[in-house]
Amino acid sequence: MSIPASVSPKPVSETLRPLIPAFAGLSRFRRASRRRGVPWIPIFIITVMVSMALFAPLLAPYSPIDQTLRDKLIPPFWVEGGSMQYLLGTDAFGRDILSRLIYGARVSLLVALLALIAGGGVGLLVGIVAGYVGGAVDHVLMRLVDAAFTFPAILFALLLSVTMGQGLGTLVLAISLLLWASFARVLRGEVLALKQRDFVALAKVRGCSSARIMLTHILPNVLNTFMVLVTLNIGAVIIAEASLSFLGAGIPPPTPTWGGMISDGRGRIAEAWWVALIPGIAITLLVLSVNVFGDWLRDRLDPRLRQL
Amino acid sequence: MTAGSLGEFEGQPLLRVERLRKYYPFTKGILFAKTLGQVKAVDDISFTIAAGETLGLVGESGCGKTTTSKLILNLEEPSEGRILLRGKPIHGLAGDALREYRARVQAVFQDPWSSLNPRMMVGRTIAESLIVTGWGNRTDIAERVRELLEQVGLRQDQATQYPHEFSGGQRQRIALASALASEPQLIVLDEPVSALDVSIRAQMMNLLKDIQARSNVAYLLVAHDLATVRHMADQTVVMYLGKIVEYAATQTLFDNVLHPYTKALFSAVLRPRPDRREEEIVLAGEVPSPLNPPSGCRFHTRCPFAMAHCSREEPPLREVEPGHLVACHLYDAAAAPAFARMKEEIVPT
Repeated sequence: MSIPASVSPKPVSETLRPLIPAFAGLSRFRRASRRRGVPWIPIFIITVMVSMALFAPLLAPYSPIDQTLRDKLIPPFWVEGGSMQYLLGTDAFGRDILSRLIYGARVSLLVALLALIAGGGVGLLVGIVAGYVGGAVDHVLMRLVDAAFTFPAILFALLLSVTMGQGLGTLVLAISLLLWASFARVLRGEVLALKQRDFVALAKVRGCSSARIMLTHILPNVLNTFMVLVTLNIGAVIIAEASLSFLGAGIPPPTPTWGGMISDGRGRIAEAWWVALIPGIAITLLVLSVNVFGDWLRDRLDPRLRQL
Repeated sequence: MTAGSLGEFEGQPLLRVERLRKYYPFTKGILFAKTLGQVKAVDDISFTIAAGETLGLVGESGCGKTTTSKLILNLEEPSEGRILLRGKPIHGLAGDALREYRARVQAVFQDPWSSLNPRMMVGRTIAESLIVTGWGNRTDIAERVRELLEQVGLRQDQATQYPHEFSGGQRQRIALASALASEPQLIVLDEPVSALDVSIRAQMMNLLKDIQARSNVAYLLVAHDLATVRHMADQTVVMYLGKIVEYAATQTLFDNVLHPYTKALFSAVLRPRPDRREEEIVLAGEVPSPLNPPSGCRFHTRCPFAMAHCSREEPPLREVEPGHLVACHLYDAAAAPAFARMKEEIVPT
């Protein structure tokens, strides 16, 4: 398989580098990072988070919902006043933060998964059809994509939650509506390039229908790109979910979500910083990990996508 | 195998191309597109291919060779004219009739790196036309794939490998096997060997000839390489800017080149005896744009023998010698130039 060289323009630093001694060290670092190995730490963090989500009832020491008002706002164990009873402390209702964090992973990852399946799937379909069929169909679909890009994302999600009511479905729908357009645009480009390859014309000569060509010739050849897009978007989706939950447009309380937990802790950030900070750290770690993993996967599978 | 069906079509050529034209509109704007002009990729060409015969189509890039092959493969609709397979027009077919046509007319393209789906096992690629026509059950198809692999000189167990495991030459054989699967009567070979190393070109050409001898399949060989055409083709058509300039049996044409453009093509070929001086024609300038082709004879801007009326009158394709068609004013009957001049002088009055 021949892979055309990356088309992204040379950054300014590439041309400046030989002129500036300080860049010498940087370039060594960049060369090292380019042929970096498997990102084990991010993979480990992702595995931990996924297991938390999968085995939440087994791992969580307490119920994530039951309130113990007597034990409210206990700090984490390493802080003065903390206890080993609640490792990461408790919130204003005396709920164990560790348990809420573990159950919250469920919501975050479930929403991410569903939104990526729904939004990514629609984007995949639209991208392939627009790219392959072309003509008026392409024009109409791509104008829809342009329109989707102009929606103010968060505002639109808030509107949905007001009109449809809060819940998992609304959240997934809102995030999918933001996702599909970028998937469709990138994949359409891929399909346009693919369509020029002789095997597509030959498939037609062999007697394949358009639907068959899209399914057996185009789809398998854009799956790599699709997988890369999925991993690169997990982080964005998790942040979108957290933002919406923080704003109160996500899953309604008392179901624990990471965004919702930050929102709960916001009012007392001065005296009980752990309530907001700990889920914040969890989000940061997960998003950072999937992004590093996604970068690595992209470099492995599809170096042409470096500009994404 | 295909020869069996010949009887009922006695006298009918396998493929007849009649006054074929393909103009691509050159437009501006998207929604309310304005046509600014037309690229005359193929402009009034006619030829026939007999069953079991090879027709070579030669010319520079941009002369309409590839457009012609796309039209024959029914990947493009002609602007005018028609193509008949066994007397039946091929454009406007639909449903079963189109599938039947697809099974009868197949193709091998130039670039072996682009003509195989990298995500499809080669056995599946070869079986594709059988699968889409519902040719047989799984075991029949698997058997046929093994047979085809063997026919093109590959191992049967290679059916489960992916294209990246093969070399360019092997890939081209796989492409050929896929074209042969449906037992076609015509295969369009668009530069089938030009992407291959010289060392395996001969192999591929001999394979093509063997298969033709065995199955009586006809080839339309599109090439810019004269050696390939000479080796393979029974008839040769030379094209320039969408027009046929010379058309004859390969032997006739190679023995006695008539059109100045064909002469120039021949003199550009490396000779086995470079020390021997031969008449050499070097063409000046580029191929003119087919968007705005020169008036009269399209070659007159580059022709070393151009005469005054070449830029005004388009030379028709005429039989200059038995079985040798040329479109050039140089071969007008001796009286013709005088006749033309006379006509010009008379008409204005």
